[in-house]
Amino acid sequence: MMQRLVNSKGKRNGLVGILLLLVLPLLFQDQAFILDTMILMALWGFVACSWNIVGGYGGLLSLGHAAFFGIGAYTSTILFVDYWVSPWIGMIVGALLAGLFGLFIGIVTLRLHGPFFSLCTIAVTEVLMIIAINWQEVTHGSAGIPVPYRPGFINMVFDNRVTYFYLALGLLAIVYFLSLWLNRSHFGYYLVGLRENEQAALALGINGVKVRLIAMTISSALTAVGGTFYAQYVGIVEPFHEFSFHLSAQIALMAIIGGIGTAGGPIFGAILITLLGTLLRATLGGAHGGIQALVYGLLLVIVVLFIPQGIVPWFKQVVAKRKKGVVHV
Amino acid sequence: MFSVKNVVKRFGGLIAVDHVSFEIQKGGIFGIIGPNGAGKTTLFNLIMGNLALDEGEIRFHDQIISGKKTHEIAALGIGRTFQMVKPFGGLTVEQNVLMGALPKHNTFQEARKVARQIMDLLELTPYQDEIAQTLPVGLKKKLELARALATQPQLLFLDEVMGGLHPREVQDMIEVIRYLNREQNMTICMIEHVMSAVMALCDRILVLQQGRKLAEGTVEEVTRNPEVIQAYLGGEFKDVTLA
Repeated sequence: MMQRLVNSKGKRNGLVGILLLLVLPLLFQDQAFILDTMILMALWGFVACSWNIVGGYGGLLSLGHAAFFGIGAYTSTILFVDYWVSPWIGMIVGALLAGLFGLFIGIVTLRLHGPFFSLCTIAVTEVLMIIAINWQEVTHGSAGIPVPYRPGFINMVFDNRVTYFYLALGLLAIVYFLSLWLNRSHFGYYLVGLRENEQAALALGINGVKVRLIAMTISSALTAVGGTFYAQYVGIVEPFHEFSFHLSAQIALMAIIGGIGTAGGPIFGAILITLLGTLLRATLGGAHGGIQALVYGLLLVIVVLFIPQGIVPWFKQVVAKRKKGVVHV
Repeated sequence: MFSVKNVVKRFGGLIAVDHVSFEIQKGGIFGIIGPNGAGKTTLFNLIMGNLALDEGEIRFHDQIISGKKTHEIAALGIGRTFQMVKPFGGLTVEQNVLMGALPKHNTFQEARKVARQIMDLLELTPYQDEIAQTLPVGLKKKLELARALATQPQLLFLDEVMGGLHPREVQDMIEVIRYLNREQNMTICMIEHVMSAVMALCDRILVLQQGRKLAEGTVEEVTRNPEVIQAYLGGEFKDVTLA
């Protein structure tokens, strides 16, 4: 009964939230700055949630998700610019390629855990960046590729930012529900079990290799979809951004600060970091790039030192404690 | 039902398990004892596929399981607990037990039912919402057993489940193991240092020393064996009986 009440309340809150999200961009239609921030929040929320499948639920701290992001961005853009394939199809091709690549990385790193896994993912991304810079016939080299501005549904280029927002929101919703499913599915439980204690999980009959590889594949493919969206929205792909360590770190950072291994944590982290980034850019301008990194770093240190579980789980604990306290009094 | 034949495991120059053979009969409780470093846990790790054996063969029913992967062996109906408890630290007690039940059940509902029964049996229900890593040792040991039981194994390997428990808890654990064996027809193989538990439960005992089989037989046969007494108590106590 209690659970039911909580659930129906949760559902109501969810519905209100969704309505708000759908109406909100219409209010800011003319304020490109706010709309832009909201779009980026949704996009990074989507990417951070995708990372979270491997990094959070699976406990494999990938610092190379830019690789998959970049594959998504490059695949759809190259297909669009050089072969006139619709980015919608390019997005799917990019996701497939990145999924396969993620599977490959998963196989190669099967025996690696902790920092060794992280280092390997960093190295792979660096290699991809070098390829993107040097394989000029295909990737157009270090200058990157501008996405032609020809608004239209088939081109996935829109003259109204609100459309981008809804698109990003749709992606975010998909990965959010996927995360919720992980919380209550066999697959999600196995993933968490392997994270908490691999040997014990295996002894229960859980196929660790299979679970890990599926997680890598799904997470990589989804991240690539984020890459395609980003390229279409920003209008350019660049090797120095798409395959950068900075991007990998940012994705992981959002999830870690918000709370890894939870459905909502990475979204909250993405909102916070995006907001912070936008505010810093607005107040400091582009001149003091170092200060942004400094603020990110400080935030990470504070979170890791004082609330290592991340902001969302920490907040839930505080609320739960409060409630308990009231009951006892 | 289960047999180990001439199994050898070497770690570099050290022979951890040296041509060990034994058989476990269906419905029995088989004890493995021996001083520290005798190769007992290594033997478990070989059986469960955590380590690859160098020679020999392990069979379960009529199937050769040596060479199979750990999760495949577990899926055949062989469960184990770890001497150094390995809880899913960040999860609750209920989630830990549930994890054991999930691989064999298609719905959470069924798995949860099994988990509940087992938590009731082991009196873990009052702690079901506690985070596993915050439990005291005694409860962690129980949780370790509960999680293995949740896989509903035909054959269960227990690695020192009594270690670190106080006498009352040992008594409870003996009752539980007896219940599993008699009422649920579970075949059990246990490594144990707590001799009172071994005496109370086991119908056959294997004694290992420095990787070799020193003796095998019923409790009485083994405890009267002079070599066993010597291994356990040293040469001067030849006339003492272990029981």
